[in-house]
Amino acid sequence: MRVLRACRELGLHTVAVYSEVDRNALHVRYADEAYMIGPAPARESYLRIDRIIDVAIRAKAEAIHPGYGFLAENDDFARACTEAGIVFIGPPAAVMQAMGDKIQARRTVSKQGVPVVPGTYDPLRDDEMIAAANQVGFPLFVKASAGGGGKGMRRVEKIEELANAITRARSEAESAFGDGTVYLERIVKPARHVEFQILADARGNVIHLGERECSIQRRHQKMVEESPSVALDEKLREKMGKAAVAAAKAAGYVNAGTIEFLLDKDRNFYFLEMNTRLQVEHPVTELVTGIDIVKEQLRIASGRPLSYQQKNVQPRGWAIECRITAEDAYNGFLPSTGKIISLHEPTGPGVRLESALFEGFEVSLYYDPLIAKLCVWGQDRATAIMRMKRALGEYKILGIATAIPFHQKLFQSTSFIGGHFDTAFLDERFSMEQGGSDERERVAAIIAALLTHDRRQHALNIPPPTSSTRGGWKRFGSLEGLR
Amino acid sequence: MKYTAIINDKTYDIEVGANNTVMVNGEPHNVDFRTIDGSAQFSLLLDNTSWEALVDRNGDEYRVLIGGELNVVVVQDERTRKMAKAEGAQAAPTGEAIIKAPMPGLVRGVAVNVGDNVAAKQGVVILEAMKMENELRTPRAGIVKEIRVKAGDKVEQGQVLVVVK
Repeated sequence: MRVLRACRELGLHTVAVYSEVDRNALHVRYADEAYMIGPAPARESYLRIDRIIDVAIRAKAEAIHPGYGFLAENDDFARACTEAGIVFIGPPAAVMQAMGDKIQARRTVSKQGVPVVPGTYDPLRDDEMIAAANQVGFPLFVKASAGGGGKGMRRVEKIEELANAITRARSEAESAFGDGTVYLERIVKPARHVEFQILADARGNVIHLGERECSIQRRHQKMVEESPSVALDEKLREKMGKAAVAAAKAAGYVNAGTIEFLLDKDRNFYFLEMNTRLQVEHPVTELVTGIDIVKEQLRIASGRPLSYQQKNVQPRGWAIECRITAEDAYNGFLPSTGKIISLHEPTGPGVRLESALFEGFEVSLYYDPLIAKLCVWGQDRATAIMRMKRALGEYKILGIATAIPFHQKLFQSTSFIGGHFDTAFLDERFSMEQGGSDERERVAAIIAALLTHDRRQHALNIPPPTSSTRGGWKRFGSLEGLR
Repeated sequence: MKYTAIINDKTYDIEVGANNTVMVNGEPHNVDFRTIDGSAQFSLLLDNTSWEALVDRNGDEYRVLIGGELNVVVVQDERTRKMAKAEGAQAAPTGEAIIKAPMPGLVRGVAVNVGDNVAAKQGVVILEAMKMENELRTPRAGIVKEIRVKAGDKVEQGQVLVVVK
């Protein structure tokens, strides 16, 4: 939807692809043309390079935007597009491949004097890695060079565990990516995850659009992002921005990309990796800079120069994004599926919502649980936080359980409001149980009693109790009496 | 009618009277209570203070979500309260707890053995679905009576995984 909207504003004709279960999805109905490419499982539809290229040729598409999931970081897909004479809206396949190889990426950027997380820089034999380990320092990660998504990654506390961890990481990486190359990386902790948005055109102009703070993560999944970051001052921002631009230049990068850094408590920063695609959290950067990143991507892909120079990038105010997932925050974040029976979306000043939802939409298990992104802008962080609380309160999704209550709890947390957090905050120092209010508890008690009373009064009309599966906020089927 | 609402260990004595009044622990309040969508969304004006809630009922247990806060409320009337007393376990759930797969997925691991003592909310099975590993927890304390799956099993939605007694 995000990409389709940019195209529509530019007057471009759009073609969507979809799987069998997505026939009613918003993107299918919004695009000018839509083509079915296979059954629900992604590997039989959205990951089928051959079918997507085939549709592009049939529809006479000139370019393909890969979005930010599925094939967005797949260099085979980028190559297949180019070979079919279709412009891939993203970096060249070779650059994508080079930055996707973590060892190569670490070497490439460190040559430009950009600090990287201490570790090893070459494909080493097991014994060479064990010899290097003490210099890297413990605890450390054994990571797959081709890695991603935590696969082929092992945490190691002491040297005795290392040999075994390397063997296991290698075999996991081999089966997941077909490449058993691994490297060592020191665990920087506590650390913040701060990333820089890059735009680069084919003429060698590279600029950055400032940083995004993405430390609010649950099991390595980002939940909240903001721009700017409370952890940076103007001096550090300039230094990190320059390093990010240098890293992108070193890679020969073209199009929109993101340089991820870890920032330790002494404000040392280290290159972590580069994302060679548009990211989920790009709206916060758009909100503070006023730059439409997707339109810039399209412009870059058509061979034109960037619309902005570094000096024209003047971020203003504060933006925050909450990822709304179909996960039950009060039940261990279990995925929640079902039909959306009622939907009320927040609006009003400074609110931007990107959503796949509509009443009747079926949330299935086939794809990522991310169903919407709620973003706000305010002139400063305090205003943005108050605005987000307001917007979350307005947001009503019925039919499934969502992460909205999690966000509401988080935005009450004094640590979060004070900006005191790092990547371990959610997993180690936050709980859904803490800090309930007595007043709400009392109101809940009254509501439950009133509902019980209503059921007793209409006992004859009540069907047998509903099953005890807790998939979400289900229908009672018995509240006619309240009208 | 008199009801007892129990949240965690706290009890509220609530008497629902005529003319939109309730007595809460002896204090009178005015209520105007409406369903918004005919199912799960409610509006309550409590002495003219406006509240919105999402409610999910499961037997006598109500999961009431207000402003992002979940309160699990068990409501008893005089009859059920007497019955609960007779069973000698006021509000404490009894019987077997059956942990079922809430969605189709792959069993990544079973964290308990038959005969183990488990505490309420203790994780028993790790189920992989939607690209994430999910911890399934026992709703109550007890002894693991049966384990019907092992790591590597594919399970269907609703399939019984573990029984706690």
